[in-house]
Amino acid sequence: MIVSHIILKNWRNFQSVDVELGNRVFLVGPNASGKSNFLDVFRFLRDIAKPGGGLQKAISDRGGISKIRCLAARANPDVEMEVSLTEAAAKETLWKYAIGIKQEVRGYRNPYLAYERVWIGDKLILDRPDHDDEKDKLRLTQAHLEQISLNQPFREIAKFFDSVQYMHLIPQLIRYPIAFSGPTIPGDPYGQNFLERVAKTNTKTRQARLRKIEAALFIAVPQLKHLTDIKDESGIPHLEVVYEHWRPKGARQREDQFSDGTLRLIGLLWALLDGDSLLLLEEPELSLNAGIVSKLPALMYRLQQPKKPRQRRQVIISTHSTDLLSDKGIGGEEVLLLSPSAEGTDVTIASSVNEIQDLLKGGLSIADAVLPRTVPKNVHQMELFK
Amino acid sequence: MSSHIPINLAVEDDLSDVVLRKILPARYEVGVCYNQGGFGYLKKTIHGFNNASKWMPFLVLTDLDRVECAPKLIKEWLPIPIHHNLLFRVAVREVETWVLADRDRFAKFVGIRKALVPVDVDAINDPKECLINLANNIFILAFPGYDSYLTPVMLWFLVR
Repeated sequence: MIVSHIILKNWRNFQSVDVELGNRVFLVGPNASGKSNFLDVFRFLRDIAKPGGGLQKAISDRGGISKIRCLAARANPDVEMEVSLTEAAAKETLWKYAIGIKQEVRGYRNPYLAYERVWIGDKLILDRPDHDDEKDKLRLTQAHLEQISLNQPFREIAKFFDSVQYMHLIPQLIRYPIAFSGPTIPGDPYGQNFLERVAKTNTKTRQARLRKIEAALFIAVPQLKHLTDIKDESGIPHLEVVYEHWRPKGARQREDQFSDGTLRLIGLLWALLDGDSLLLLEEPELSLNAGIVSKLPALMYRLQQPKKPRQRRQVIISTHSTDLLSDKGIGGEEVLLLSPSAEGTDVTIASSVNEIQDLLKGGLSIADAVLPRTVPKNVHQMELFK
Repeated sequence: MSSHIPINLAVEDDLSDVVLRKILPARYEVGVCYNQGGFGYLKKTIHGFNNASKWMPFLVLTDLDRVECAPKLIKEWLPIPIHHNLLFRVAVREVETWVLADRDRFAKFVGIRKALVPVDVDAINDPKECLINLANNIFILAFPGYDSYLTPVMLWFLVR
């Protein structure tokens, strides 16, 4: 399944968003325009649906409702979101899930549900607040989505949200595990437990994936060979490669000796190979050579190949990279342009802007046609900084 | 409603960007500046700008460099009809020439005598080099004869 349509109201940077999404979505915009916050919508829904999660936890993990509500929210301050799920792009909507969140006007100012609605196709199957909610207001502090006993008619939605993956591997966390020990962030978005997750994968799958990654890695870093996972004497999992040098046998290196780029590439490829649910990628171009970055869209497209017929995996990518967006295979309808204003960030599909559409027709790539729009107006002043 | 006329720029380099913004009268408001470096980029993308100019005016500025004349360059780059909203301008030889042509302010800015700035700037073959040499005027004065752009006036100053 993919998210084919999303409506947001008062979510972080966005006062109002209503856009269609395809199999592959690129988010572009200036700094602090809300690219990560857009991705956070899906993480938020995952946090509600996942075991041990829930509405209250998802909100409190984000620092309370005042942190997730748009600063531009005024007359109607409810935070609202609605997502439509389809089997594949441009297909009929299978499910629709909508949620509105309010805050108590007095007392502890706890968040509670303004509404929670679920549709199968066009048929509304859940519409809260219902009769029971009227009798017991406390029920509105939890979503039906998070409760197995209540979400049975729309379990598929809960499963889908729960399987959303977010990947933003930070090499230093892997290279200096002792310095960053301590409780991990739920869902491990920054790859702190990446090696453990690799080790926990079923042996056959793991080896198959590592072989694939090794092949890609070899192209990027020709000195590296034989990517394997091993466990040391204390049972801690590691990744190991053979680094070829002047000695005939090469040197064995573990992940603490890998370069930033190597680790990022391994993490990225693993995330792409891992599962077939919605994948959120934050700036996949970081630490990578420009030549490799320019090939990432094609590589992602190949790895998105459907496991089940006609079900391509959905990937949402935030990026600033000219190289990544220079791929002429990226269409204007795949790019969401985020433009901040005093009334929150506007999200537009790049191809819906006539000018961009014609620039693309004239042979410009997304990087040429869209990225100049994301450059701050007074960027020249930066070099005069004293 | 704002009375500003929105316009997009497409340029080769930062200097052209700054110069155009300076030249444009205040009633124009620059929307997007397409500046990805080099004339190769402009040449490649000019058809796109021509296409898109039906929605918003575009001002494209490129350097003539070694091409014989501006109309020839324009014909070569855009053999198809040019949309009336696409203002395709060519700086002879380079946009640096335009900077040098403002002799008063250029001389003041780099701190040299106005007479040292060439008068017939269009005749300079490599204006960028000339501009850099003038900005490094210490060298010119310290090593007379170093510069190949010595005008009679400059020469007079040096041998005086």
